[in-house]
Amino acid sequence: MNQISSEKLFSVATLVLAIWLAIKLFWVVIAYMFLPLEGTNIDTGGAKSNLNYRYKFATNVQQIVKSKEPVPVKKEPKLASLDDYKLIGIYVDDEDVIVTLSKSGKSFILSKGEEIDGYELVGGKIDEAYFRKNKKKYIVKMEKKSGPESSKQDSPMTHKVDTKDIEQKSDKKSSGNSDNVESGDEATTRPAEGSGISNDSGPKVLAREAIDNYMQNPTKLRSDIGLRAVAKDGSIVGYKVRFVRSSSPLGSIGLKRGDIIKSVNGEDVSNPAAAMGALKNIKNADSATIKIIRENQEKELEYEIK
Amino acid sequence: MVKNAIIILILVPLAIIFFAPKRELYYMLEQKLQDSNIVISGEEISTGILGVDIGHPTVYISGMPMAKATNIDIWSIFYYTKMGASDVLVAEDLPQQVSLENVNMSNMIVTPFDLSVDGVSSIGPLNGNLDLSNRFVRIDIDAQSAPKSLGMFLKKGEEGIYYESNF
Repeated sequence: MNQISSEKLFSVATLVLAIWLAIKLFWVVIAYMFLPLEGTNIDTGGAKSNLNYRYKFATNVQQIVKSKEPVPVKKEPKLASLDDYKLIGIYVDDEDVIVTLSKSGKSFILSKGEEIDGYELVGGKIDEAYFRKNKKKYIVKMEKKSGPESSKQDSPMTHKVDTKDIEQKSDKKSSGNSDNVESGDEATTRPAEGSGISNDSGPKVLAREAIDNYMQNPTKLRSDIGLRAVAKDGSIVGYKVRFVRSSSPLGSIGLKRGDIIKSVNGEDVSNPAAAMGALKNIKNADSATIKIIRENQEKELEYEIK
Repeated sequence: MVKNAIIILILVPLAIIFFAPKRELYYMLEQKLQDSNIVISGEEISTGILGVDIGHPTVYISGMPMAKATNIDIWSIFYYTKMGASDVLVAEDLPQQVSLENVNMSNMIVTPFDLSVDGVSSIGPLNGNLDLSNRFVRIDIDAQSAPKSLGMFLKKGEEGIYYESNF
């Protein structure tokens, strides 16, 4: 009895399993043969990015060639350059050229034939100086300042002097800038406001800042004071004051028209380079003494540098 | 013998429903809808014993997003199929939005080409039917007025407003 019931139960279970297996198999076949495996979507342009193909389709494989040993490159000695130098002043006459160069806050005065860093000064004109090194010519040009003040100024400190006519011209009245300058009469000269030079009854004081300004801008020096070389027997013995601009810092230092500057701090100003050198020495000194000839008499003007 | 027949009659439909590839069948439904320019997109599909559960779908009609739902549940016991959607936002870009708290579409095997629709909307309760054989739909809404944004789609009847269209 039990055996019969077991057989019936087994047959029912087999039937159930067979049906389920058949239906499962049916759906699997239907799904893989007739039903889509992916749904539909609308691309809303989200965070998807374009495919990035990095395949290299090149078929020609290049042979690896052993590179030759690198040839050592001979390092040439670094040449000094004039690029670091700035031309801040130039004086040109028929025989000589004197330039003032600045580099890293220091100034250098050169006359024709002198060298700096191997560069020989060979000439110059209004606003440029010519140097030569290793048979190559170099030009250093003066920087043009922008602004209204610079437009009023003349060309840089270019002072052309004909030494042959010095004595004859010395008696003539100054011209050109005479409209803008005072006569240089010491009694009528007024101290300039904020000029840095005092004209009190005590010792005259020169501001070091004013001297610095003249060193950096020789054109300004030329416009504030007119000097003409005085020659005797073919050599310069001094510089005659043609005019002094009263509104300038030099207007109150006691110089007046007709004075001949012989020396500064004991150094004879026998050439323009010496004159510029004297000015440079004044800047670094605490006092200065200028020896002048006024009305055929020698005088000394003393100043305190502050 | 009769016993075996009864077993087969009961087990076969259950097995068909239980073993049906529901996800793939849903994909087929999507493809059929796509033929009518209706796309269900962005959904999360999970399958159950009797049907599929679709989360956060967006329904596009002719490329325009027309409805969003929190959930759509489709299930079938072979003789009876039902699709229910909840929190449906219709045409969210419209100035005056229409939302459906729930909407149900059901189909019985005795009327395979007729789908009944009922639900609750922000305008009012709705019910209607889809005649697939004649490609006709009519949905009655128990409301006296329709939003202006839907005014061009709805008509006013004796017992309220209704939507009627061929597809």
